[in-house]
Amino acid sequence: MMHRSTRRTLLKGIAAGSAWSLAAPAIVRAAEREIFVGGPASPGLEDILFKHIERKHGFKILFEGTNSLINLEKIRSNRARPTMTVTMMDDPVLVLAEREGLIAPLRGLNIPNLADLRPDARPHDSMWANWCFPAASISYNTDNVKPAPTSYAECWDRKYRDKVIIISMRITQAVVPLLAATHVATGKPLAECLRLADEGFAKLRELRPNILQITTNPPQAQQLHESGEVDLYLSPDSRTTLFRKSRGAPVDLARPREGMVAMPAGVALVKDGPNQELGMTFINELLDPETQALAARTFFSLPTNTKTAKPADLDFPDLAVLDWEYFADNRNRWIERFEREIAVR
Amino acid sequence: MTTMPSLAVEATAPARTSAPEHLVVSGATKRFGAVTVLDDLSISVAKGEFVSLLGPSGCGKTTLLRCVAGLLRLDRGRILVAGAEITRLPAHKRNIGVVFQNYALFPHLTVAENLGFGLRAQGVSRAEAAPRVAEALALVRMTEHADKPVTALSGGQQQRVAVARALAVRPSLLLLDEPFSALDRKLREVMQVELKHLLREVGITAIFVTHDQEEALVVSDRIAVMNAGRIEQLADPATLYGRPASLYVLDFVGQSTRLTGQVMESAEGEVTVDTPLGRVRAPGLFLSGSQVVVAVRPEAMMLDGVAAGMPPSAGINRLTTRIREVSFLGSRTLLHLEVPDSGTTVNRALIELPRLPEGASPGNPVTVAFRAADTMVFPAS
Amino acid sequence: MSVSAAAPPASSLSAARAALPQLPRRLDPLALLALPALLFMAVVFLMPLLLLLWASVRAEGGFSLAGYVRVLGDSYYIGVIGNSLRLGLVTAFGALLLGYPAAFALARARGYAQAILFALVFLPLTVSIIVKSFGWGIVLRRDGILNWLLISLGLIERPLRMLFTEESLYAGMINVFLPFMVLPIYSVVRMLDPRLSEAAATLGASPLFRFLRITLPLSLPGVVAGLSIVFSLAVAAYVTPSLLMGDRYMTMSMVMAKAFLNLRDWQLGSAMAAVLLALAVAVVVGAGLLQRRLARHGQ
Ligand SMILES: Nc1ncnc2c1ncn2[C@@H]1O[C@H](COP(=O)(O)OP(=O)(O)OP(=O)(O)O)[C@@H](O)[C@H]1O
Ligand SMILES: [Mg+2]
Repeated sequence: MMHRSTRRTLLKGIAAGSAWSLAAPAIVRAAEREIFVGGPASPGLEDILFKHIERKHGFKILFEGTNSLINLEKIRSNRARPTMTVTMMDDPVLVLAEREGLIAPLRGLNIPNLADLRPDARPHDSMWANWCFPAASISYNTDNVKPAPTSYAECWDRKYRDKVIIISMRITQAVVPLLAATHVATGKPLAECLRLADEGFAKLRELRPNILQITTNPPQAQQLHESGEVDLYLSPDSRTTLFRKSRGAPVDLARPREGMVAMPAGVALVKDGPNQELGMTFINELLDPETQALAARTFFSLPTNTKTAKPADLDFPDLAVLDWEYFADNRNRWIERFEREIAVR
Repeated sequence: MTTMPSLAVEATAPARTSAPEHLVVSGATKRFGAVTVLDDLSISVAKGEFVSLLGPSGCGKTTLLRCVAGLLRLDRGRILVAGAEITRLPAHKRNIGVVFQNYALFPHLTVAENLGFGLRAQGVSRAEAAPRVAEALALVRMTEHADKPVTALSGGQQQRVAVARALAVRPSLLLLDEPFSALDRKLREVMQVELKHLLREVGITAIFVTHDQEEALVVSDRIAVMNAGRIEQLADPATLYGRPASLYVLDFVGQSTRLTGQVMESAEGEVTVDTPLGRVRAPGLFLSGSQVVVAVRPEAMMLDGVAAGMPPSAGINRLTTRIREVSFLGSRTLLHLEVPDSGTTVNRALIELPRLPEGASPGNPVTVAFRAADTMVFPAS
Repeated sequence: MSVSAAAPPASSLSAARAALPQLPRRLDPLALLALPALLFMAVVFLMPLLLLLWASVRAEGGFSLAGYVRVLGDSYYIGVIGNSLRLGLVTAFGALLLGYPAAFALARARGYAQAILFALVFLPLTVSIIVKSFGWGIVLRRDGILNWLLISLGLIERPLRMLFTEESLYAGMINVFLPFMVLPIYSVVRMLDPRLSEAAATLGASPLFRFLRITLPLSLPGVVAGLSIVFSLAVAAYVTPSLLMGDRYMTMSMVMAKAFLNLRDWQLGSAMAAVLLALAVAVVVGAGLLQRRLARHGQ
């Protein structure tokens, strides 16, 4: 998940912001069938996916792309008078939004496609839905690393000294190196490792000689990764790695025998947001098999609707779907431990 | 005041030339880009002498001082002090003191620290420097201000500190660049006398830049009149005033009646010149027909009535014209006389009188007289 | 003057009345020109600041210093404060080392040379640190330009690790903040009368003595201003260290960002912010006092 704010999304954001500040005209314009969606600034979202939905349903999507936590902060501060209809966020952040009563459950609403989702894509009894599962494991540089890594344990090999970048615990994808360390330490399956993650810290600490940087700037890390300065990058997900691979960058997603991790891409209705009807249409469309196939091709991610015809070249093995509520409950503590035990020099 | 007898000048001159030459500048040339500011200039200053550099703005006075001080490099030429060549020596090794036009006192230091700066810079210990600083303070009567910051001083006090600071290191030569220009007229006159006295007491050789001719006449032993990067004349004040070497010097030092004319007769060292106001006889060697300028200092002119008492053989020139303007100057009066072509050419006529004569008002006719011996002739430029 | 509930004695009243008419006279009307800036600062700076300070001592039961105990009683956060201070000091003095001569060159240069020097010093300001961080990646990586240069010169045999090192962070910080050192020194040096140094020369002072006793003391106000500006900026830096070093060099601002954004821990964030503010204020006030001393007593 690259939080890259392009000029386009920024302009859209400003447009959305001004619609919000002029409340009355916004309502008038809402009658002209528009909804305001908040979500990540991922390439492909607006230009491909939303365009498809707009064309199909004839309404306008005002989108503001930003980081999940900032997105949450916006919903929080507009709680009295929500302007956003739909929010697309990471599950751990949606957990927080649910606890604060900022989102409304999807169950029982007019969203027929919800019924066809795999059960683990309907967290908390369909409080929200996962519209796709990008996959994460180890991103490796194909020029330098031959053959491809087959196990997470390989990251600890001395030959990767100063050749590994891991993502800061403040970014959700940092869960992958933590799970990998826990797995190497305990031998338990990846999905179970989340609850044992505290036991993985010691192992992760042993990775330190190999760690060149703990990044809060994923685009820069990606650049170093593609240039060959960094062999292993833990772990941008398939949205980045496979997208860059498709553009000719010498990177690929490893398929370790321990499996890969499903990153959560959730979508939810903002509580008391305007134009709930359009919101439901929007979400239903995101979960539609046809749209999901498009999303899978666009984001190199696993569809969550069981009726979706998987694109032929995207044959992900089974992904470990995590208990993101547990993650949300423990993230702050892990951030602290991560900083004090792993990041510290 | 009358013209000084030239004998007096000659009487002092040999004494001065016999003194050792302390500063010798020869063939000094300095260019800034295409502009030649010092043009093959040479000057010698005797030990203990106080020489003024006098000249119009931009003639190169400051540039000459800076070259001597080592703050600028000459393009060509040599500088010797006490027989030693210093042309290529950096400023801090020359031991030549400078008093800058704006004094350039160190604003972060007290009066005493300013005075002690040079000594400390030359490695004199604080203890050894103290009595010399005190001496310098006493010399310029600044003892009670020793611990003041220099920024708290008046203009005159700053000027004295600047002089004392330069003298404290006992330089072999002192250069002063218009040290009085920032002072008001009253104070300036006091400081001029004080400075002259002080420098004589110290017995230092000094060069003093000014573009105020009166100041130069008051303070210096000799005056060097500069013109466009050259020394036009170097002489004692009396000679400079009484026997200017050129029209330029005549103009620059004091006032004069000047009349253009043509030499009609030339014989036995005397010429007769046709001027717009009439014929004038004067000592000089010019070919008949030459274009010349005749000049007389205003105090050498008399009203005809006064001249009538003089022996006719003395060779008296008489000119008749009208009074154009009367300037009352307190102790004396200047009459400006009408001259054809005045204003557009060099022509003008002035007479200085001890008191205002009766009937002297603009428009009245007047006849002036002056001795041929007091009349100067220059080639017309 | 103490304020009491009882009516003030007549004498102090009349004294107060006598003092009244002088008030407007003491206030220079020109001071009113600062009013818009003051109002602006009150709204965008003072109010949030007070809210922040309030948040740092607020607790369930009312007033609490627990936030400060968490920051100052934790060796990890003391280490973070140490990181920030070290970063501030190294950046400030590094920038001084490079910026001092640069400011002189700038002040002495004329015409085109000056324009080019100005551009060299100030153009980097127009390049975002994000762009720079990518550029530095290219320069500093193992097969980057700097390693290539050192190897071709025969100075090293195998590439050095330069990326994400403390040294590269310092270099980057100095690059970012150098203009803030050059500018105040330049503006002081530009006003220095070159004749002061010349006067010192004619008094027999060598170039070194002139520099130490004339130029250096007279340029100190600019140096103090530059040091305090760069130190305050560097000690509070967030973007540059997080881009150049990441989580491995936590600064106070990075902890604040983490506390507010990730942990939603206002107590921690605002206590850290207050400590940072106190440090910055101490430095700025200290520098101001130093500057006044320098101005008053000279050397
Ligand atoms: N550093 C310099 N660069 C270029 N030209 C200069 C420089 N210094 C002096 N000049 C020029 O040289 C000429 C002589 O300057 P200088 O200062 O010596 O004159 P001055 O006789 O001292 O005049 P003033 O009476 O106005 O002080 C002037 O035309 C001046 O413009
Ligand atoms: Mg001058």
